[in-house]
Order: sequence, then structure tokens, then C-alpha cells
Amino acid sequence: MSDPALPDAPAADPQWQRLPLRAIGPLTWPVLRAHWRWIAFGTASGGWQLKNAMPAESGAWALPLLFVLLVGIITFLRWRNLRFYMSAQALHIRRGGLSRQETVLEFARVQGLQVHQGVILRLFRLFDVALETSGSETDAAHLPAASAEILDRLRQHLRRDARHASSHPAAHSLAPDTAGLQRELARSGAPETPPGSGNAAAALPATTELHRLDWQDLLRMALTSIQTLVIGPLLLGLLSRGQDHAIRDYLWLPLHGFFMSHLANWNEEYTKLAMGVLGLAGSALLAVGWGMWRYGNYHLQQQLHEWHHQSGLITPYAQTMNPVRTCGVIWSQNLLQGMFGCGWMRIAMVGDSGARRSSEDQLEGVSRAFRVPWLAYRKALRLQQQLFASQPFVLQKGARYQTLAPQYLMRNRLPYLCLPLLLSLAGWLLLYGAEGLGLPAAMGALLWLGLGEWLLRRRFASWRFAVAAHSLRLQRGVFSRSRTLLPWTAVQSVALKQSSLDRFFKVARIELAAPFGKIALPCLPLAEARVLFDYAASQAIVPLARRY
Amino acid sequence: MLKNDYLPFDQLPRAETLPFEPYPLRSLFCDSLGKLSIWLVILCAGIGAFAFRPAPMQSVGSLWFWLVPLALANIGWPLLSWHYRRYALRQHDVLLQEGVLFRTLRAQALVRVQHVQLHQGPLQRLFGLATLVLCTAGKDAADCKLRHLPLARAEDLRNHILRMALQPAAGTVPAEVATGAA
Repeated sequence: MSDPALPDAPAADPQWQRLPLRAIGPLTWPVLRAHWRWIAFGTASGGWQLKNAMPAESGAWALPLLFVLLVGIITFLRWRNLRFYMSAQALHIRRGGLSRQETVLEFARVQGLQVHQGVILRLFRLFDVALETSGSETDAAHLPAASAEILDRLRQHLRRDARHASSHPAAHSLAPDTAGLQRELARSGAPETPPGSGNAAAALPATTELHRLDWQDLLRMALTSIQTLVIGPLLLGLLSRGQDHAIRDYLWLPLHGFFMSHLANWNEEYTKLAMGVLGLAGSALLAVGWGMWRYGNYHLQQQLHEWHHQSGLITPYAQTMNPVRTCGVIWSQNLLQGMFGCGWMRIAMVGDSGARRSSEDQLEGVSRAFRVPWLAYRKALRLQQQLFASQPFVLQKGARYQTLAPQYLMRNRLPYLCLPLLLSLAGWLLLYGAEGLGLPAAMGALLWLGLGEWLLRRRFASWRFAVAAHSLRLQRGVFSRSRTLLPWTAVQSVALKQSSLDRFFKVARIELAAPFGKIALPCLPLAEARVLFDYAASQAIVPLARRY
Repeated sequence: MLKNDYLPFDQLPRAETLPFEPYPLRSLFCDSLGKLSIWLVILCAGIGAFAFRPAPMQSVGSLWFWLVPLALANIGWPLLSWHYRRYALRQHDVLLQEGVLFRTLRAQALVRVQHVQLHQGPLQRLFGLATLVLCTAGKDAADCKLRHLPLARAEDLRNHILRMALQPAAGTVPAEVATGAA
């Protein structure tokens, strides 16, 4: 029995169509931007050949003509080889002459439609259309110069698909659960106010304050920011050592002169020390200023089903997200932040990669994770509970934390400790012979081995993971610690990897691909890794609609 | 209603017991021919540079000598890697096995596939092969690539995967996951 909702196989003779002929003009600039290296190489090499074959006076027009010819040929071929076809369920795109590529993109997977129209496209009455999905290969969903008719047909397909999705809430596995929102409204007793109605303001639910930063939090956050404490003085020091640099002439020298002239009993070393302290204080002030500018007046609020945070004193920044689309939570703290017991919580979301066009064939994904700054771990746990209020099973406890395989230390000593040492020794012997290899070299080697061994043991001790029924929890990190919560339904694919060394020690590595990145469990016993692989694979096939 | 039944590990489908399908033999020739063509270009560039600039090229003549075994190893490597490349299709996911020194077993759930791409390079067209890319919501490295499949098999697989990827949209949930995997 055929299901009309299932995607149809492409027809035996589908009506493939090309972009309109006038699209050749606007396609010139994207082609130039994408292939300028090849065009420059072709022009230069062709021009060099012509230079020998043609009279000198004709060289003035030969190069530009060759350039225009190359660009024209490539653009024409690009237009000719780009074809598309819209079936009932999907958009089929074919591109490429020498290397062909065919993409099938289901309308049900489309999360947004981006339409650009620059000046040149407007002249030709064309549009740059990009279909946004959660997929990583975003260049596949791009029609660079589509006519208004093509755009209208695309919109009709998407609207029809959206109507189908609203009547079948499980249709869009990655779309916001509007049916669930309606159920929540009914359960909470809030009136179901259709969007855009006149009573929308009266029906707005109360806002709950979740997290706020005061000036003391901002100060601690700025001062524990590693980059400002290290890079600031380093940069000042480097700049001040320049030969004829403005900072050295107008800042360093006058200050140095002031200290030397007014504090005559100070010697050169004290002056340099004072300059260093001044540099450090200056960078700390910069850090505090940056913290205030970026995170001043920060507050995180919850309003019904949305989380909203706002920050910034001079240039306010605001972000809103729906917790339903959470695909992972990561809480992390560096060494300095650990002194205050605070860290950052990153809430990774599905389908929030805004596509930004950089060239004709590439759309770069910009991840817009939701970051909550300066949070103690216990408060982060409470926020997690609210985040997963509609999916409490994700936070179910009962799973024991496990460690990595005991072979972790032996397996990592060879490549990370012994091999670099042996390579350095071999390199030294090749370049300088046995000269210089004495007590200092031996002490250096011992220091390397000692520090490395300590670091390896600390890493092994810090690694913990727990496999729960609906989520995976990780704890890791020596200097910069992090705790990750990954719902199994966010896992896109699972991989079990074994290098030669892993096979020797009978361990394996598990990698879980999530929308926000890759989570790896580095060194598990092989049997355990296989079981976890099978379990993760069986969990990854569960559709997202089954979360509720 | 959401169920949360206990799932014994020994009842899980075992990936290691699957009958993996090898890639066609012509994929090996396609790979080797591709690498050979690249090395031929390098060789021509080297000969051309030697012909026009003999003095500097003579000083690095020994370097070219070392490139020969490297080229042979690179061209012959597909013979070894073909032996370890396998794939299998289950009802709800695709499994890939590949790698000689760094072996990988990857499972890609069909329901997580966002869209599917079919690539055919010029050499692949010569041998009737294609590369199927299953794009997910993960980052770029998370995409699943089945390289050098026969074209007909790749197209059949693409249609099947698209059908399976949209099963939740059809309102149907596979019966075997409704009981224990939730």
C-alpha cells in the first residue's frame, strides 16, 4: 500500500529545468569570487603563451580579452550544468560538468528559506535562494539566481508542507512542537491566543528571572578570563619593544622617563618592575571594561516556553531560544574560574546554524549556541532541570559514572611522551651529534617525562562518563573542566574507531556526532565499546517525535 | 504513552555479526587511477622544471628518487584499503567499515539524515560509480560517505534512505523501536 506522504522516487523522465538565461549575467560575480585563482592562473599562463606568439602591441588587449573569455566560458558552463526539478516531496538539484553532484532535499526537512536580492540581481529580476536545513552540506540547498516564478513554486511547496506538518505534529522531527505548545497552554489554563490577535498583550504570561549578573560577578568574570590576563600584558610588552612604534614613543618612553626623573633613587630594575605592574593593571582594566561592555546588565529570563537573555551596556545583545530544540548542554570552567566555583553553560540547539553566504558554492554555518555566563555548577543543574522540564526522562538518574580503560595510561605514554622525546633526541644527534647531550639534556628529558606522566594521570582521573537510558553524561578536563549532557536523540551518527595502537591494547574510541560537534570517549575496553556502539546506534534511530 | 522498559544489552542487534557488503572491484581501479593521474601531473611538472632549470633540479635529484617509492605506495594503497572497506544496510541505519591502520565502524541512523547527495567525478563516470553522501545535522565531519558505489545501487540506496528518513513525518513509528528503544 503506497503512502502518499512518502517521498516519490524521481520520475522516469523528470522535467529538469535550468535557471533563466538572464541568470548568466549575475552568476559572473559568484563565479569570479569562487574561482579567481584558476582564472588568474589561466589568464597568466595563457598570456605568457600569447606573448611569444603575438606582436608586442597586441598584448595590451590580449590579457583582458583572455580574462573575459575565461570568465564567460566558466559562467556559461556553470549555468548550463545547474539544473533542478521539484517533485511533490523534494527538490532535486544537479550541478557540475566534470564532477557531477545531485542533491535531493525533502521539503519536510527545510527549516527556513533565505532570499537575497542584491543590486545586480534586482536589475535582472532574480533572487538568490537558499533553503536552510540542519544539514552541514548547506551548499546543496542553494539556487544562486532564481526567477520569481521558481521562488513562488518553492514557497508553495513549503507552505503546503507546513500545513501538513501542523496537522501532523510528528511530521517535523526538528521543528518546534507547536502542538505541544497548545497542550501546555491548555494545561496551564492560559487562554489560547492566536498570534496577532488584539488580546495578545493581555495574555502574555509572567516572566521568570533565571539568572542575573551583578557588578561583582562581572569583575570576577573579567579577571578570570585567561586571554585578557595573559594576552594583554604580552601584547603591551611586545608593542613597547618595537623600534619606532607609536606606543613606545608616546607611552613607554614618557612613563619610563617620568619614573627615572621623579624617583631618582630607583634603579632600572625597579622601574621595569613598576612598568610591568602598570601593564598588568592596564590589562586588568581593559578586561573589566570588556566584561562590562559585553556582559553588563546581563539577565536570563523564561517566558512560557522561551528563554531569553540580554546583555551589554553600550551595544545590547539579545537572544531567544526554545528549550524544545536543545540537543546538548555543556558546562565548563577554566582554572581561574574554578577558584570561584563558576563557569559557563552552553546550551546547544538543533537547527540554529544560520547560513551565511561566502561564495557561490559555499554557505558557511554559523553556530549560535545559547551561552549563559558565570554560573555555579549547582545553579547550572537547576537550570538544566527547567530546560528539560518537558523531557524529564533525559535527566533520570541511576546511571553509575565509569572511568576509561586502565590501558589508557600505557596506550598514551608511547605517542605523547616517549615518541616526541625520541624524535627530539634523533633530531639533535643528526644536527649536532653527541655534543651538548649531558646533564642538562637528561634533566630536561626527566622533567618532560615527569610532567607528562603527571598530566596523563590527571587526565585519566578526571575522565568520567555515565550511560543513562536517555542521555550520556561526561565529565573531563584537568585545567579546564567540563560537564556535558547529551540526549541520545541528539546523536546523528556513531563511530567506533581503532588505531593500530588501540588494537594492540584492545581498546577503542567511540565518537558521537551531535549537531553542535563531536563527543568522543577516547579509550574504552573493546567489548564495552562494542556494546556502547550498539546501544548508541539503537538509540539514534529513535525519531525525535518519540521524545514525548 | 512513553515506555521506559529495561533493555538487556545481549538483545541488542550486534554490529559485528552483520554481513557487510564489499565495494565493487572497479572502485579499487578507480582510486588507483585517480592517484596515478595526480602523480603523472607531478612527474610532468618535475620533468618540465628539470628541462628548463637544470641546475637547481640537479641539486634535488635525490629527492625525486625518494618520491618514486612514495608514489608507488600511494597508488598501491587502495588495494589494501579496499579489503577493509565494507558497508551494510539495516532497517533503520547504514553501517560503514573502513580504514587500514585507523579502523572505523560508523552507524548512521536513517531517521537523522537531512538530505542526500550523489557525487560522480569524471573517473567515477568512467567506471559507472558514484559517491553517496548522507548529510546530517552534525558538523561536516559527521556526514556519512559511501564512496565508489555502483551507480544503480547508489540511486536505489538514495531513494530507500529518503523514504526511511521521512517515516516519522508519515506518522508511522517502526514497531520494533516503539517497544524498547524509547
